[in-house]
Amino acid sequence: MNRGTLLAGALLLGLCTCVRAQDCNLSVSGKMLDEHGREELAFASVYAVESGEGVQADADGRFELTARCPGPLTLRFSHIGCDPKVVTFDLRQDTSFNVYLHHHDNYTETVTVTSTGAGVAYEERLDREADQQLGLVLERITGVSSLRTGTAANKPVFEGLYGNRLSIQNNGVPQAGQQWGNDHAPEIDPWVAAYVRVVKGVDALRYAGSTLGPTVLIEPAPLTERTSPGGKVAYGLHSNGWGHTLNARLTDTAFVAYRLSGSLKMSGDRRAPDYYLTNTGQREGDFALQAAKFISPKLTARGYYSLFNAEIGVLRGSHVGNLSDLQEAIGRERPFYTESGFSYDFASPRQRVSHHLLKGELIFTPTDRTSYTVQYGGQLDNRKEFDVRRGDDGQAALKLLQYSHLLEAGHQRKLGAFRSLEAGVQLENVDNTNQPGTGILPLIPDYLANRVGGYLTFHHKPEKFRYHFGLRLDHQFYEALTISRDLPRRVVRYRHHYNTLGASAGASLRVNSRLSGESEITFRQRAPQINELYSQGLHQGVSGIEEGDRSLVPEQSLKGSLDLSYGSRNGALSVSGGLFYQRVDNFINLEPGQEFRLTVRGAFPVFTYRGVDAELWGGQLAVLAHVADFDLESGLAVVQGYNRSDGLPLVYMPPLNWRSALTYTLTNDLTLSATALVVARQDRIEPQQDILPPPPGYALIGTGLAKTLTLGGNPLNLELEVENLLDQAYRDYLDRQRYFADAPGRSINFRISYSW
Amino acid sequence: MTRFLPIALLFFLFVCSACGSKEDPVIENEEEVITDVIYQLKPVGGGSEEVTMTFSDPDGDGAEPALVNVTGSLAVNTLYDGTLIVANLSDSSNPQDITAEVINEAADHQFFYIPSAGLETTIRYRDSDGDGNPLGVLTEVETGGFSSGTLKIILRHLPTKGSSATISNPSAAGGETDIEVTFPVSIGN
Repeated sequence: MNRGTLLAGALLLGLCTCVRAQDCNLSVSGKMLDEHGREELAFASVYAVESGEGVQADADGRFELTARCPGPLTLRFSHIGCDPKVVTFDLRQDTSFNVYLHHHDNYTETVTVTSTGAGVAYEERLDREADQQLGLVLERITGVSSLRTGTAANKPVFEGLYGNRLSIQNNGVPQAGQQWGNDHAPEIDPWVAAYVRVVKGVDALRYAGSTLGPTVLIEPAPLTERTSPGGKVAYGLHSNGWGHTLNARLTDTAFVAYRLSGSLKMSGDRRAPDYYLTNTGQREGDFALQAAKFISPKLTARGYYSLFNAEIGVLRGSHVGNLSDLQEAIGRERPFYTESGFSYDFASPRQRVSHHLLKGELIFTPTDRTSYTVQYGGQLDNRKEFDVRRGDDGQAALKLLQYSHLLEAGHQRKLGAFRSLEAGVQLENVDNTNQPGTGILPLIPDYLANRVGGYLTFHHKPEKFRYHFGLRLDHQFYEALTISRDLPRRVVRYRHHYNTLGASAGASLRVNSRLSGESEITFRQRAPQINELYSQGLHQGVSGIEEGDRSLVPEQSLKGSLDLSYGSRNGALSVSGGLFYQRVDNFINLEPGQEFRLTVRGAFPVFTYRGVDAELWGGQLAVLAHVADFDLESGLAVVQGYNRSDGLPLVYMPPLNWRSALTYTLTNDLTLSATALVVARQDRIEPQQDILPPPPGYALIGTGLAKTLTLGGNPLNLELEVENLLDQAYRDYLDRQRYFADAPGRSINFRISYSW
Repeated sequence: MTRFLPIALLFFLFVCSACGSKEDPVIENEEEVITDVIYQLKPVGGGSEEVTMTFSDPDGDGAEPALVNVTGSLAVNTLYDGTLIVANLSDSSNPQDITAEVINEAADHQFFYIPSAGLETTIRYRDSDGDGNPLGVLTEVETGGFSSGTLKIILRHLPTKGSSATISNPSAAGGETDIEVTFPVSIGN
């Protein structure tokens, strides 16, 4: 027995010695894919750190390193537009694995690579921001700013486009309920979202929704056949507003692969450095269920349901009745109705919204060169807004119910080694109804909107010179049921038909493994939306009477862009920069009229939607660097917009902004970080364009400490973070509450999460 | 044949996109709207003419212009009792007096009367809410010598009552303005 063991030991030792004595003839091979496993990362780089050698993947993303010695091996994977990633393992035999990279370009994610599945680690970074507002998460993308209404609402702005010109896709379905104005935030829980990015040009043609080019994509981590069971719970505390966030997620397989996610949030009055922002509390409860059934290698079915429920308080001091109130509110040191103490309670003005999204998808892949998808996305948006009013405060001033349905069929086909074709048709129906009982004539009328669209894109992706082009056609029908403003009141129906065209073509040149350039030209038309056609009434948020114009014609835009990316061979540095220029005819602009309209509340300026000629241009620069134990991420964005019809700048253009984050890894499980945000003053606004000059620029710094412990073999993450470290009082130009109050001050945030 | 199927389908979709019709919306009963403001000035003890100032805008935010009317001049050095009436006349078949509602919620409301510089008047509150703070449905106006100018009448909802605001200077009061109307006024002409 004893002898036997010894013999076995000796044999094993001998074997080992034998292996060691062998020539270095092991191989490491695999395939580099995007994290969905849909796209091969052609010509990506693999760098073996120990030996200082590099190889390049082929057109299908396949790589192979031969003549490796056994022992520790560190590989750094990189691809232009992706974050580099290091994988370290002990090489003992020929090894083959897939590497899943996430495109960094326009993503807020860093890339993570594992040989088992990218899903879990991917989510981590966005998870850490799940207790923030979605808009703040999106701001991490270089070039994205937020159009805000204080802490109550937050909408993304990209390259100067927002609202009706920038569609938001929630899990592949255009987010409904976004065409009612800029004080309504997208009803999406950041906890469910794992990836956010902005696509434009040819890549954006396939997405439905009202846009003048770009589209924001917000997606949960897909359930794949690699998805392993697991879960995560997280709790976050924000000292500013004493906000509590509880998140939970569970992934498992039982007949179908599924993932359950839920979030609960509660916060009270936020605090500006010098006073409480009274009535800015929020409550939120969200739930999502994702399911996937891999019926056969050729057929996959996916289902998704999410419910977003929120009640949001709006700063009490920002509610004004007329222009004189506004003038008085502006001059104040602290807003009207500022309470001296903190409270979780909030009253009117407030918003209550619930949003359901149900999605079903069937993907049929008869061969690895073709696939067909059919998708249905249904949404129900129920929004109530409560104003301070003379009658019953519990009576909503706005009650909207919107049903929307999207039916989509798509086809993807690979033609030869480098070429691929994608085509699809979409059918969309939106039914928007103002619920009776508000005692106020609605600002947006009841309407029915039907849209039919189709797209076709072609990609040619060899190693050096690539090109792509695409076409999109839409037909939009509206029936608006307006209520006349003259007496006696009556219902007047209007119908509209719009045809719009989108076309885009681009080419990219890969100069060498480090440098590539891309240029794209896009023509897009955008049909006017209902608020632009039929808004009617006093909009207290802007202290003006807003009037739509039903004679508006589609906007017509031509945009050109040039982007350059550099990625160093060892993946330690990547730099990307881009420039764009966009000309828009019939740019639908809300413009103040010359005259004031006299009402019982005094005289109000009349704002009318008018088609003007506009131009926008700008650029952005993003740097990612890994030096020793430091990670640096930095992004700068500039945009300018002009109304060519009257030579004035466009309003709500983001001023120059620069965002940086530096992370220092102290030990494997302890990181320190520092962030800085610098926003310049918006100087390109004429005094007559606003009731108040733009606020001065500001700089905010933050810091954080993250520690990972192990509990029962699973990671327990602890984070401490300070936002607005210096408790700086500032106002942001894109914040519509800047007339009334400072932005929130310092917040010390604590977060704990445990995953298994 | 199958080649034309997608085209036929697309055509069908285009045709289909134009169908559908929606039910008429309910025309909201605008219960809280104020369309008319009437300020009646009666000379105390008679003697002079009564003066009535009227602001009327039945279509609210609509494009139809508001009508402002003042029946005559105020007499010099005269004391007037002022009464304010606010009403919703947007639906002529159902006129509504809102004054009673304002009096009911007196603690949440306050009227302000702001004569322009040069108009020789002194205006005082003649009523109060349950807490002894002024309301301003009832007022008295004391005229001085020959002069002319404007009188601005403001109704604030949820002002800070008991603040340093005076009848002719509402700025410390805050609140939302429900009414802000201006009348041309002349004294003695």
